[in-house]
Amino acid sequence: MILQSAWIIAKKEIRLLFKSTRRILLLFTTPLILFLVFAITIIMAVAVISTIEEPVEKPIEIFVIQDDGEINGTSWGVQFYTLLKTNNLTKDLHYTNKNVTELDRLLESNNFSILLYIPANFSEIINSSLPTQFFIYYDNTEIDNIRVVNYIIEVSLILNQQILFHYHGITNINRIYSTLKRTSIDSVDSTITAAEGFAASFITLIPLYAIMLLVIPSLSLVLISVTIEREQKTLESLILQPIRRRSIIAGKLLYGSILVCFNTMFTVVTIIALIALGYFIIPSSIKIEIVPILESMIRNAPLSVWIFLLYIIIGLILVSLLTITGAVFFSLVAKDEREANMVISALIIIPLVLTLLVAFLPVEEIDSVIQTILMFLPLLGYLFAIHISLVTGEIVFSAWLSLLAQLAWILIGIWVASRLVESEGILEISYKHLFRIRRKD
Amino acid sequence: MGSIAITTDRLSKIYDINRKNEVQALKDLNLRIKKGEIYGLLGENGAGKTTTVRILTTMIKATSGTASIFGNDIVTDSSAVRKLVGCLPQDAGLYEEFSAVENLNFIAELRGLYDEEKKSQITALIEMVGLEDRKNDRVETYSGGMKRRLMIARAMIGEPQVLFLDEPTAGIDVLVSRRVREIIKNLAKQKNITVLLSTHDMISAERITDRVGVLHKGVLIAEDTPSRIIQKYARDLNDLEDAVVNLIGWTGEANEVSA
Ligand SMILES: Nc1ncnc2c1ncn2[C@@H]1O[C@H](COP(=O)(O)OP(=O)(O)OP(=O)(O)O)[C@@H](O)[C@H]1O
Ligand SMILES: [Mg+2]
Repeated sequence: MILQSAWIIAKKEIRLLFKSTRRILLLFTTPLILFLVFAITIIMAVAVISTIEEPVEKPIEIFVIQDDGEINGTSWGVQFYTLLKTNNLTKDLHYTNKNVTELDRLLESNNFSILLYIPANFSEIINSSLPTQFFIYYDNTEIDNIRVVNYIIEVSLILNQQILFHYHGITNINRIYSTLKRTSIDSVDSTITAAEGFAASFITLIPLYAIMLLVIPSLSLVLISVTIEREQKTLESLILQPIRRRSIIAGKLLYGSILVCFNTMFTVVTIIALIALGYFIIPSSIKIEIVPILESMIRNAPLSVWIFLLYIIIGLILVSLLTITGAVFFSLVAKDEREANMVISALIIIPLVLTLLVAFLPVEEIDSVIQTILMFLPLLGYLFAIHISLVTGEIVFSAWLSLLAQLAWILIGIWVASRLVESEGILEISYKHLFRIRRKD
Repeated sequence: MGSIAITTDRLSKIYDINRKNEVQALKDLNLRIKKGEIYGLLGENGAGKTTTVRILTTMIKATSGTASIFGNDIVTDSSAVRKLVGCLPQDAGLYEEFSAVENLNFIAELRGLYDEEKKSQITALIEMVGLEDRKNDRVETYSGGMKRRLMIARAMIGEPQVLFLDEPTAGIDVLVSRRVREIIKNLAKQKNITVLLSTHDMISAERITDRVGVLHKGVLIAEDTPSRIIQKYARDLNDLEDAVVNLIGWTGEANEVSA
């Protein structure tokens, strides 16, 4: 019964939507923005690429500083070096030996692609059955360097010793990626650097922008559809009909959900279309380099990455519903569109600002109880849970609870809105009156 | 004698103006309105006419007292009441971007009408209120009177047994006003629909109502056929307006109420 009238109301809203250019524009805001951004990016990329000459294939030069001495007639350092030169993965690389006296100068100048430093006590420590260390310094702005470093690590695993990484250049996505999958190779030093924490903070903001891009236009449309009933005085004739009054709420929610679905679908189609377009525009020399990297990233992504993606998607769905419910509730209370816009904008800005704060907060310093409480907040809690997951490298239990909390907030929102529409104050309500009517109920 | 369509029993309504002040908008209203009767509710601004209509159409709840429409209690059987009742609220509006047909379509679907039945009712209603040649234009291009006529049509979708019309002729020219009167009269006489009409238009009240009730500050102070009300209360002029003016006393007292 409720669903049937809800569908009639949602259908009416969709018909009304197409009666106004302003609302149609709102509906297509996200794809339009995306289209513009992508178009500009592609034009710029093409402009830049066309000025670059075809790169000359230049082998990466690996500087090796072998400072290890012999202990009992064997040098593990030499053995490691030999291993590198004979292993299938690394034997074709281009090695240049450097003297240990040059180490400081090289490190200071950063004038190298990859530098492998095997320290003086390497063998000595291994012989006393302790894990020893060697050092890899590299420029991580070059994707090729990262690939080669990964080869070296793989070969060094045979020795089962600890590696200390140092890189210069920018933090790149590959590092965040390995933080996320919590690289299980014991020998890799996986403590989070400040730069990585910073990157995690930026990633936390991505779902926030996804929410804004996908939900805000729908939110505005739902807001209009609710406040217009009051402004055009059609609410009265609506509640006069032989339908349950809460089906008005259901109808608006249904309309909002349809809008979000449509918007998401349209955005995805736009993105796919633009990627396809980009695929044809980008020169093949670059394609050859990028495609295998993407392929291997997808193929080698551990389960935890997929679970994390699933977590984000479920969360986005819940948060969209939550936002729509909030829009229905807060515009139901408002006396006109202006008032609703004011209140809802304020409510959207709060999580936005707080997320910026939370995302750059040193998480270790927040008490775990407060962390859990933060995760239970509507909207903000979900973003915070993502942030925690990125920083700790796993989806903690309370992060799943955070999703449940979002669901709970949706149900609370629907319940309160239904109570509101069924109370007789609904015809006269405004933010000024809200408190009085709640008190009377 | 036909059956009773509308019954109210000591119906009262008290509004909270703010935390301290209250207004008694309706006090111990007892009505018995027969099926097929056209009943006019008269009274000064703020007398409680709209409040009565809103309570009887289940829009708001009475503070005390009971009422029923064809035996269905307005509180406990509100959904049955809403099916039986059509209403033109005093301060109603239409979806401005929809045409007349689209506006009626939406309400018809909410009332469970589909396909042929829906179409034929809408066509008949649009013809009845004389909007055929504008029926596919957006309502925002209509004049105030055309909108009012469309709202009357909207109130009658789903063939309600009881019609509540809160000032149907407000802002309507004399020609249309006469036409609306005819529409209401025909409904009552031909389809045996009960009409409760609140109005300040004394000519309408005098010509088409079977009985009128005069509300003053929420109290029903007189109830009879228009001719007998005129007989009893008219002094200077022999019409309903004069009678009502004398009845509610156009004195400082009444000014207080409207202020
Ligand atoms: N929502 C409300 N809140 C508080 N008081 C109200 C409300 N609605 C009506 N009133 C008060 O109730 C009384 C009756 O109002 P009502 O609207 O029923 O009068 P009316 O007879 O329809 O008047 P009019 O001819 O002006 O339409 C008035 O004093 C009014 O101030
Ligand atoms: Mg009134």
